[in-house]
Amino acid sequence: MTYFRLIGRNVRFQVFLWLLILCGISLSIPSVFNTLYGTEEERLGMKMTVDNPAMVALIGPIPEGDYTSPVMFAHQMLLIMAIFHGLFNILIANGIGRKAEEEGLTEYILTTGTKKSTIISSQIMLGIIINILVCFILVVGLQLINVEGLSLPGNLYYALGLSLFGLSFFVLTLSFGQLFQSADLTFGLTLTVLLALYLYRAMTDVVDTRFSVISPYHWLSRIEAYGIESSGLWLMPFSIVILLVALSYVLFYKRDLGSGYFNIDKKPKERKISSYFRLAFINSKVLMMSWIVGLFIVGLSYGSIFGDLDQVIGQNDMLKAAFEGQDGTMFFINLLFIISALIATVPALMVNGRFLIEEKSGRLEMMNAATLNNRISLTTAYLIHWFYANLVGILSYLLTLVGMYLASINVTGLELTEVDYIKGLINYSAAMVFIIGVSSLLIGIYARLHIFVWIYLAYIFLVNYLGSLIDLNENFLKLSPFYYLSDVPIEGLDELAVVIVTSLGIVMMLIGLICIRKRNLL
Amino acid sequence: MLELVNLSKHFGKVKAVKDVSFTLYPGEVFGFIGPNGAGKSTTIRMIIGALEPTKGDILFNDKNIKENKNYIEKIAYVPGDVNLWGNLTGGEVIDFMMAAKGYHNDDRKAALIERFRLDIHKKCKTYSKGNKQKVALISAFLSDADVFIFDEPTTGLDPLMERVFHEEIINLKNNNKTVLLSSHILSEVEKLADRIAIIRDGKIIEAGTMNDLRHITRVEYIIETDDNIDALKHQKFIHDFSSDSDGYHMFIDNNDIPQFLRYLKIYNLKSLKTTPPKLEDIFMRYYEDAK
Repeated sequence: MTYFRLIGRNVRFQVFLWLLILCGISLSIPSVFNTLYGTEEERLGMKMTVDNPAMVALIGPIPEGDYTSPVMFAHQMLLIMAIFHGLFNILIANGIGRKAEEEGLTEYILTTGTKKSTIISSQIMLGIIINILVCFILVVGLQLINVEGLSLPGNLYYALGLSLFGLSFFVLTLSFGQLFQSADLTFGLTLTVLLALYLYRAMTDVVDTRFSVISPYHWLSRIEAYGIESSGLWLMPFSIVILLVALSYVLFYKRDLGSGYFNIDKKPKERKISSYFRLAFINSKVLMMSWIVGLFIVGLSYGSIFGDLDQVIGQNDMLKAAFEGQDGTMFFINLLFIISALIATVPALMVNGRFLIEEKSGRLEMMNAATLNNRISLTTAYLIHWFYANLVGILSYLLTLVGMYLASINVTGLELTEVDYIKGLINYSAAMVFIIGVSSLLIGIYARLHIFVWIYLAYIFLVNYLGSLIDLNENFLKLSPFYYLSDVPIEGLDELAVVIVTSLGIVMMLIGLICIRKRNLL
Repeated sequence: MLELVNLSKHFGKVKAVKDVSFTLYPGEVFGFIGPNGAGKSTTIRMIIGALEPTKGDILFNDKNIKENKNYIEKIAYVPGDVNLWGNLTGGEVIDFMMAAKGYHNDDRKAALIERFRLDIHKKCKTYSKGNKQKVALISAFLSDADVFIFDEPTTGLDPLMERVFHEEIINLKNNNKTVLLSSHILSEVEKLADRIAIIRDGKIIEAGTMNDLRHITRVEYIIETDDNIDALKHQKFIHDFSSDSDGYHMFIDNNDIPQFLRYLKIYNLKSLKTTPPKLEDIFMRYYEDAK
């Protein structure tokens, strides 16, 4: 067995799972679109729907030419899938790169006589193989789908776009891993780049697409996978991968193992920590702050397009008709309210999930045993994490809404009042409490089940994202708490729904509490 | 076999290793001890090529390792804190290590796995600390290396496994291999090592055989007598005087022993006992000096 096969085997299952889910999603969409938008009229209607600043920010500019099913598929899915492919590659790369080094594994490999050049080449090669797999599965899968217009060149462009995008982030993570000493920092920075480039493009696509050229997401838009004039030319900028490969190689070779090029050696100041309440806060401080700030910025960027939204829909008779008298602007704002709430749930689940890290590392038992009178018991820790989860979730959401409000404060003719924002906050916080409740319940039943709350969250996200574009079967929506809550600001606040959803969230947490006291700690 | 010449490592302003020199010969076990943070691991990491020395050279078989990069193939290493690839089984890791070293003796592999009582079919993420160490140890013994470097090899092992490890070390010695043993378990080092080096604050403060080291420390004497020995107590060559049910305990520097023994002649002694200094005493002496 070589080093390459060693690391490959170690990530085998993880990669398999990600490929299944990511490619599965990509491959399921074309037929769905084709079925629901069978006629050219329906597709034209969809084209009109997405031809507005809010959607351009979300999925990119409208491609030229006919809005066929494949074109619609590539247009609407490529950028969102790119984020997930990027995330997938970042996680794997960080694991075999800086993280492995932190654990002393790279050093251990070095002593077996494996050369440094082999180590870094194998890591890069793994990224290449994984993304070749992505490309292969997507091309073959798309070819097998019986939808008109899914041409081979088009499929190739779609698949290559995603795999090259993924590979770029794989190698970027490896490069950052050379520069910085900690795996967490490397992950955080690469993730920030992944999301920042998306947000940047979101803004520039609306203003002037010429500025978007810097962002790799824009390159994906410009490929126009199934259009008349698909341009493979826009795959060329991905040759930046070659530069990143050379960079990781050189950086790895030259340095001492365990070190980075930027060593941050701050002396921490002493803190007095005498309760788990404070300890948990300190441990999650950075996480919470960065998400709250980040989401405020997201709110600002959303709010900045409210003005244009209003104009475009107001002027367009067809859109007005499409919404059957309902306010199109309000519809999109409702969608943004929901999506923001979902995004705000992410840090909440992360904070709640930290309870599991304390459990797995043995620190939970240690704290429990070390304190008098059961001061830091399982119950204490469980409840404190649940509390902070709700705190960061609601605070992040609040700040997103504040951002939206502030950015759109000068927009005239917008029928959105301060009260609507407050109603939105209350309404969708209920959904967050519910999802956090699911998280706590799963933690209570069995530590390894927690991953399902992320799948659940992704499911709700997809269902809401797709639900707004296509007529999804109602049964799919019923699993989401959002289904039961009223659509603020379009509709008024349904207080009863809010109370019920919130209560269910709390009840689930309580059931989880009972379970955790009974189960074996991991 | 392996020679360190004036080796230094600076991390910015911090001088982790200062001018360290020693030589390892075939067929010997070399003990490398020192307080936490003394520079042991840093020195070892330079030997295995993970760190680039700031100054000085490392010579393997009289050739500078910078010119002869393949020297690492003749070295087997067991890290201090063993982390393995979680999703692989112990057996897969051992197989990888064997393949990487080009070693193909499956009988020896089976024998070692049995001796160390390791279940190789479980995933590494389920292993306790001791089991992870066993994987690393077995992997190291399954090689044709000439120099074996062990960093805290037995900290997670039970006494039975410790003994198995010791037997394997003696095996290596008998096969003319070189062993560098870095350990906090001084009794282990004392038992196995032919020569010992003590490192503190990045510098080697003492090196030599146990006998050499014994000469530079104090010897404990235990005296039983009915005489009044107040006069003896206050002599300048008497250190750490105490008294318990065994008698009077006192420590005498090696150089002062002749004078001490002459002094004792004036007393009527019921018994006189002495024990050769343990490595622990030697070590503690240096450690306390630091305070």
